[in-house]
Amino acid sequence: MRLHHGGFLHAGFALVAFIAIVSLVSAHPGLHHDIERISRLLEFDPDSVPLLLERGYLRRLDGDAEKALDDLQRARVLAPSNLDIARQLGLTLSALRRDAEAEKELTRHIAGGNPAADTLAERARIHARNNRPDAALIDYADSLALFGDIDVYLERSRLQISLGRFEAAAAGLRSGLNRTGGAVSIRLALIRVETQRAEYDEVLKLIDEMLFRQGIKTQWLMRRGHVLRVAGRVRQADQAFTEALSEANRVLSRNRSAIHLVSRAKVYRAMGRRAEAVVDLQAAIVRSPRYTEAVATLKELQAEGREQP
Amino acid sequence: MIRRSSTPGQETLIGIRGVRWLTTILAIVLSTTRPSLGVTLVFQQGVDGYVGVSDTYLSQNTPATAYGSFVAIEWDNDDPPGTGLSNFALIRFDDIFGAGAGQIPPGSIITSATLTYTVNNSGNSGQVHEALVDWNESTTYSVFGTSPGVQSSDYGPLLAIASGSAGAQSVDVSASIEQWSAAPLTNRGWIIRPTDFNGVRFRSSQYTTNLAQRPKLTVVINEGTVVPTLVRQPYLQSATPDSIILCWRTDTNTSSRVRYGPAPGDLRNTVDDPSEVTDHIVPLTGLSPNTIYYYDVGTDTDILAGGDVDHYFTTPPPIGTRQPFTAWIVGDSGTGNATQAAVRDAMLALTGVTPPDVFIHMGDMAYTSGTDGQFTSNFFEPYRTILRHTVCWPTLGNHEGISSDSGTQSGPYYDGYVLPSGGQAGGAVSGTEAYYAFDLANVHFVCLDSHDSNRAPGSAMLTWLAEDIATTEQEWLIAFWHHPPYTKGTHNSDSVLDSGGRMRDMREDVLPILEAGGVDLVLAGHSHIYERSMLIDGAYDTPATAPGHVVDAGSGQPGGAEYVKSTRLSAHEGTVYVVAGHGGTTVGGTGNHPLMYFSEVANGSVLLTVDANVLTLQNIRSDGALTDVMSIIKRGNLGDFDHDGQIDVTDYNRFSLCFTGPAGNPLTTGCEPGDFDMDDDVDIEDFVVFQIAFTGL
Ligand SMILES: [Fe+2]
Repeated sequence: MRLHHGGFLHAGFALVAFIAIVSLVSAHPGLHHDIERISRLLEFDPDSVPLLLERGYLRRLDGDAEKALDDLQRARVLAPSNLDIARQLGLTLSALRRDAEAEKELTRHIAGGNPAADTLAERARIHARNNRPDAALIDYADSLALFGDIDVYLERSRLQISLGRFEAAAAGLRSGLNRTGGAVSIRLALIRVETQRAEYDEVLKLIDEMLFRQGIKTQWLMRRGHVLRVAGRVRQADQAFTEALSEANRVLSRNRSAIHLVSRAKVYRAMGRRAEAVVDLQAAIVRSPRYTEAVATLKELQAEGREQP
Repeated sequence: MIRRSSTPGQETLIGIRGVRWLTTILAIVLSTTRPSLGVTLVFQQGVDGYVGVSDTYLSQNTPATAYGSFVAIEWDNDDPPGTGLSNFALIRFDDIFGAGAGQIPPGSIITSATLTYTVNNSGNSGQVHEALVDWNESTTYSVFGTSPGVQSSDYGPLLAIASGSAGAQSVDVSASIEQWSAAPLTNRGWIIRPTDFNGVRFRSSQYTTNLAQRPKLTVVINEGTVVPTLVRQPYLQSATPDSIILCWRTDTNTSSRVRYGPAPGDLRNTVDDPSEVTDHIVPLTGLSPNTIYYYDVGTDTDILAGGDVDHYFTTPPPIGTRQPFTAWIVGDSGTGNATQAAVRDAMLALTGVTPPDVFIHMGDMAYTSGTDGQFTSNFFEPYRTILRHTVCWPTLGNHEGISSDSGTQSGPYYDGYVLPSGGQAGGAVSGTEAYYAFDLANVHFVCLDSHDSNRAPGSAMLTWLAEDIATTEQEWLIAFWHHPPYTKGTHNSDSVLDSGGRMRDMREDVLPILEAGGVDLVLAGHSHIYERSMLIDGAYDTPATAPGHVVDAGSGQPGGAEYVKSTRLSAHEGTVYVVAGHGGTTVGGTGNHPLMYFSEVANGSVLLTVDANVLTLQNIRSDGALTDVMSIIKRGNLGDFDHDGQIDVTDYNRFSLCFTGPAGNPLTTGCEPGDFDMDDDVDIEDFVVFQIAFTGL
């Protein structure tokens, strides 16, 4: 240990919360330093399109889309053909849910021939919000062709699933999985879609790849069990839950914390061993009384118990 | 990080390199005195102030006559006609090497050198040689060299053939200039020997009718190849127990080479990457854990930095090892000003010869807009002596977010850092550098992007987070990002309008996941203040309030008031929240957040130490004062003496010693875990309970 703990705290200091105001500089909550800086510059150069564009962009980033819009609309008057203004206007209007105007501006930017991935994704969202799923899917595809944003992959798959296009959703997520080097959020979405498609072997492959990685595997073994159960492979499912239980026990032998007691309770629950699950949950709550998930799960189990005496 | 090349025009011009792997010192000297790229220098008597030309000829027919003042000089082997007597032309350009304006600087790479002369009386060509004896414009045939006339020992090998045709003629003299560049005193100019009876006369440096016809030396230096200089000194990224990534930036596209080994003089391993880039990223793999390596970096021909005791790295211990380490926590530092330097120096003064093992940056490291230049001047430059031996783990601040984009992972932030998007350093695969995890000793660190990634429930980031912490087996969990969930500094976390609602989003949507996962410490910046909370849990509301959310309202100070949690990760046992936005810019705010135990409106940084089951945090004010200290201790369950989460043989032995040893206060004898009934004695009642715990009955 490299630090020395003794000797540097003043007596009497320890027991009081201490506010040392050594600077009288006042705070400006929510007022971005850069917005202030650009505002000062704009005082000298009120018709500067680059400054208005930048301040509009920063105001949107800062969550103030209304003021951003003021800047961008002024910039638009000064430079009617500037496509960067169209892009920022589109993104800002979309944030304000003024979809028709936003779409018009984004389209103008995109038609300029050098669209940005976020512009295409934003127009896709507008299409999706306004019940034009096919147009949305085209824009999502174009956006993803430019860059593989994980959230855009997930958004597109949600839209495809809502349209019942499971195969396309699976194909899109699979390409996202490869492109991102196996992003776990895409993997989980793909597991859900492939399960819906009854492509159980594909799901098992996606799960088994994770079992080779380091770390606690209880949750992945549980997923394995659930998929096998859905697939009707009862014996294999039981085997997976048994493995999940032994993994949960392994972890608990190192650490009897509430987190791992709740994990084992979930395994017990999946195996139909409700009484043991209740014991684990009660033990978890004794250890971590504020653990809301443990409390909620216990309530569910107790309710199930009343229904099925 | 995305590899960057300089302009395509420069890429095509890579050619010879002059400096071999000599010594580090020589390479550094050369690289720091390197002249600019592709310069053409012209030397001509009377032009642009240059007056260094000497030219004359030696006449066998008139051996005592000097021709230095003549407006033309000549070569001839039949003068006067029919005699077979020879004339030899001499020409030299002095003062062409040096650091002065218009001179060829030391260390220059000679791309080409051309001697141009204007023939006014044509004839047979001449043979050009370097002169090996001293001469001046008064030198005559009789006194040239040690014996009269031109002997073969008076000149070097044939260099080129000089045309005798009328008009301007050129001779390639690159070899001479290259040689003289390394040893300017050996420049004695050239001698042109006749080849036949038809003599040639050309304009000399005394010719006045048209200065442009005077002899001219044109030298092109450093065209397309220069010894590169470092724009960013070497820095370390993404260390794991068996790998690390070395990065640096050069001013021109070059190949990459890292040499590393157990001592500065024993860099026995080499990794080469022939691709020509300015942002160099060289992964070193197959390393041993917990081992010090020295290194140098450069190109396949030049060492640019390292090879000394200051350039080293120590690989982390195997994951899960209870080895103490120190992390330096800095936020909102990127001003490049004296405050930033004072904060840095206060830390260096405290840690002395044992620098922190890692550097964790809370974001806003490159004011005002996170541009490439601001990164270089406000981050890489001020911290260069730290970054060369200490790995930096950053998170994106809003100022970086102006120029960098998380969705496309582009811009200076993503260009500069190489972060483990594939779970290479431990944890789940995030698929992006915007948020990632790493393991260090017995701690799992999680970095989130509070600025530019989707923060909504069900988003990729939050899905990843829940997966990541569900699989970690580490003893500690520490999370960090830019926008603090609790602050009353230069930002107000209770205002949903402040910072686009990011502070609220992190509090309401992210903290429940982390606290259920047992997070011990959350670090942030953004608000320019130092704030440190009590041990708290579940304070997700807006505005945040204390009642019902304080697990331990004490000071957390070492020596008895430490916050106590169960061993390893335990859900909702309390978390300490720190705002470290005081690393280099103007501080401010009221500092009166109800969940904070200590707040200070002053610049500084935080030093974090994790030693087995004890985490300690200190605030180092920029004047060197240590104004806050807090510890969390993870105590085992009763009976778990070594706090490893298990009641095993080690604990049995410790219990036996306490049980049989002299009576004393268990708190001071280290027997506290054996005192089950808390009667300040480890006795038979405790033995009965311990037996049950040990055997699991
Ligand atoms: Fe910030």
